[in-house]
Amino acid sequence: MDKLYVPLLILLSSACGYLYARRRWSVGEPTLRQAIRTSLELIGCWMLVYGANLLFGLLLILLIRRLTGFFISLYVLNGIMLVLLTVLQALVFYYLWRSSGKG
Amino acid sequence: MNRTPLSAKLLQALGVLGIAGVLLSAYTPLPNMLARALAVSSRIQPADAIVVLGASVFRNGTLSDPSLRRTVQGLVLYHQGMAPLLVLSGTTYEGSPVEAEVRAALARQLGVPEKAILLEPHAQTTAEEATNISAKLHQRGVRTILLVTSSLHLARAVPRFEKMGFRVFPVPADNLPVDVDRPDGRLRLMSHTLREMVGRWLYQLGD
Repeated sequence: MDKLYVPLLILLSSACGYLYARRRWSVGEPTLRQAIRTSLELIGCWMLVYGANLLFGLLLILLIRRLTGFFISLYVLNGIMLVLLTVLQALVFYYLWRSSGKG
Repeated sequence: MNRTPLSAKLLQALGVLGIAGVLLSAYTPLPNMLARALAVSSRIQPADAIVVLGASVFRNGTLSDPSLRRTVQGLVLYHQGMAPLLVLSGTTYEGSPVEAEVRAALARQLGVPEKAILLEPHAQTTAEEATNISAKLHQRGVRTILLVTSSLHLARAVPRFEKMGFRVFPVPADNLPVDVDRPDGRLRLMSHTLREMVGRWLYQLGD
């Protein structure tokens, strides 16, 4: 039960949030579907940018080690900071992509 | 009717994959299965030396959790009489004290005589640890070693030391057990496992 508490909490608060939005903001199912699509796009955008950062970061570290002899640990790519900063990057890229009219 | 552009569909698909990946990692035994497939299990036998691989140390001289666990495991093996020599590895990290020296101080406090301790304070990677430590141990005629590190790291470390001519008995010292079953633990295990898979791949690429 402990393990399922958080997902159940999220399900419950999401349902409450949706009911509130429907009554207060008069939004319906199409808007909800669009919100879910947009959220998926944002997550997808984050994954794309995160993957690119990991790959670029890895190659850059290997290059720096080989060319300069200066040691940077590969573990720096494993930290939470890369995840958080990539969220910011992804938000900006997503906005740019949407504004470009291609999205 | 508005058509969704292909790029949007791709991003949505990637988003679904991401969420599915997180849920599968957190709420199914997938990370445990992957980690078990990669992890090396314990094979404790009397040897010529105990080699404790480095992890990290904080600037104030506090050993990180993996470093402390590995050191304690090495000390336990030494006090059980599994080997007469304790090799402690670990360099300095961004202005921190040298990990091997911090570990050695702990070993002395816990009753290991100075002459039984050998340090490797320079190596920054597992490959360098294998090279530097093997040079020191071959001089002393060491042929068998008990290798102490995390069970996932052992998959990468054991072949390195075997390549240097040692008979290696692996000894896992884990701060995250491969049978962890809490969602956050499983996510961390998945992250560690993927990292070790990449590390293993890079090492194979370098050979």
